[in-house]
Amino acid sequence: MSIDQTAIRPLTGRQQQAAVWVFIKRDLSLLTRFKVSYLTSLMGTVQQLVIYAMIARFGLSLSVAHGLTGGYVDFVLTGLALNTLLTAALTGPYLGLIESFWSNRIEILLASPLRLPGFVIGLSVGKLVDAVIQVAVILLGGWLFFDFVWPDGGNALVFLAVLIPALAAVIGLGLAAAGMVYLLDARGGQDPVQFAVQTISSLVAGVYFPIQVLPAAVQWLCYLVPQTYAIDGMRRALFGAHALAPPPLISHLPGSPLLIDVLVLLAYAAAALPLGWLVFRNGMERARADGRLSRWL
Amino acid sequence: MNVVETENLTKIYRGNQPDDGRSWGDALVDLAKRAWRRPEEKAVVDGVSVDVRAGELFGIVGSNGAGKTTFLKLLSCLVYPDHGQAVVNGYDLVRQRSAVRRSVVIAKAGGWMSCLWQLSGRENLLFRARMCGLSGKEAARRADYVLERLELEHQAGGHSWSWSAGELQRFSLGLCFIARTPLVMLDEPTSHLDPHVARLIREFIREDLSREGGQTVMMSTHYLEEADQLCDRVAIFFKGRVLACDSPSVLRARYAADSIPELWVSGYRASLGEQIRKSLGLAEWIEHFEDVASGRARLRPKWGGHPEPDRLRSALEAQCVTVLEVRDVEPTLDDVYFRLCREKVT
Repeated sequence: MSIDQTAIRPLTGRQQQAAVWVFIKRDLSLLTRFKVSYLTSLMGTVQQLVIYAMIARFGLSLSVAHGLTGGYVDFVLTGLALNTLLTAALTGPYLGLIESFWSNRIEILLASPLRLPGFVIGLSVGKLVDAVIQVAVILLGGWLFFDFVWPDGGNALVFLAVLIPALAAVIGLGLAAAGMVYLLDARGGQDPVQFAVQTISSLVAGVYFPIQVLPAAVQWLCYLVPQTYAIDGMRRALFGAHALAPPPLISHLPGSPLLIDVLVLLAYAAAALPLGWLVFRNGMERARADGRLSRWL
Repeated sequence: MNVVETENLTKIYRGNQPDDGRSWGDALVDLAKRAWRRPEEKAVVDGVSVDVRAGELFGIVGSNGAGKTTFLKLLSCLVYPDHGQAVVNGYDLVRQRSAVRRSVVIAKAGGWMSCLWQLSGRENLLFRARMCGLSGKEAARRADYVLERLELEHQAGGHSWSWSAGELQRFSLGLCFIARTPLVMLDEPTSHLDPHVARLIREFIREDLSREGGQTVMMSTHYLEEADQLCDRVAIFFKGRVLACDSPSVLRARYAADSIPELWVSGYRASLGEQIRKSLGLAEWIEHFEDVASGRARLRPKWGGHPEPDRLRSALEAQCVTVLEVRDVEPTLDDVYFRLCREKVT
């Protein structure tokens, strides 16, 4: 065997995809290798499912108050499922980077022909795959045991039209959060971007309760995060026009709330993705310049 | 043709190690101070200019903290230089970083940091191969070759947490071999290994990577004897600087005495060593005990400015150590290293 000239050429798109795929296989191998741990972590998802389904049974009459086609079960389980997916997109780049840093493998992963986008996608996609499994557990569990009604008037294409820009927008924020690992030395397990977005979205994005039940003074916060538009838009795509009342500001705007959601998400994605990428790349470049990529300084 | 050319390459690390014992108050005060005070600076690689020729096995020797690892990281773009320039495989280290990264591979010290703990041994090799753009078939072929050549077939399905230090190091080398890049950088490839595994690895480096594969190999090591036997040329690092760079034979001829006295003694104890060395003004000597109970040992001063054998004999005899024989032996790279470092310090 002699020197492989193909190793010096840039990777083609297909080779990059193959490289990302081995990252996914690496992450999935954890699920199958440590079965007890993974099943236990899924029990956490089941626990959430049971808590909110029980709250629904306890007698919340949100469906009456807000015109939901299903009950609160449909509302909260779709909220939980969509939030799980969006949270994985938000936290994936940060968690992947932190895991590589603390397991001291980051240099070895970066010392390869794989370019930085391939590297960060590889680190994050496994988390999304895991989130999809959790979503399946929530929805199937809800359907089997808690009267969750599968939406029959849903439109898959419209759902995707909301989901794709939503994921792009949230991934942009996730990249910015990962950039903070080195820019703000946020190597301790939490960073300000992720914390702010997660806190706002879990409180006011309409995951667990409609935004209208919040005090008017804090309702404006919901407009800051893409999760609000994403969850509203996806519920609307699943449950049709009578899903629920749109967020207050959107209801005052002319045009379909769904279209407004999609447009806002597209604008958010167009801004957050390149900005997040810049922050992330800047953080990685700064780490290499400072020599902190794997050093504890 | 040179594979690596560096000119005045410098890396400065800034900032202190965090002090975990600090109170919250002190930590906040420190944070505030840092806003206007420049952090401490330390040049870990300081104006290094070396050339590495194609196909060469180039050794980097030096003590802990001499800058060996950082120098290798600079050449693989894991760390960016503060000053100076370099060309690696024909690519500019600063302006063509992606191309530099594609053309080099690095194995980190200890081996365990090269392997992904989630994957088995064979999966690790395949992972690296796919990251380098190899097809699935070619990746499998190279992985099988590495497993067989490095005697790792029994660990193909095992995981890094269950491997011995030698197995980790061999997998780490195997990962370098898989990529088949023109330049391979090995950071202390034989540290903490038993003689058999160390020899297997040296053979692999010399035969498979260097001779057969035609790859240029840069390896850092603490073992000067290993560098002496294995490397075509050696750079001696000291506090981030290169003190000397040439073939081991030229370095010995240039910096070491023609011969060095070696004393065979009895009644020697390790505890006497420091006292005797101090009385002679010697930094260190090499002690080889043949029989600890009777204190039978071979002693050899490490540094080039050797005292007369008669002075050595009298200093030892003053401590009731019997000198059985004095022989003149060939100097080694150890002697060169200690002389250069000693001169630098004094």
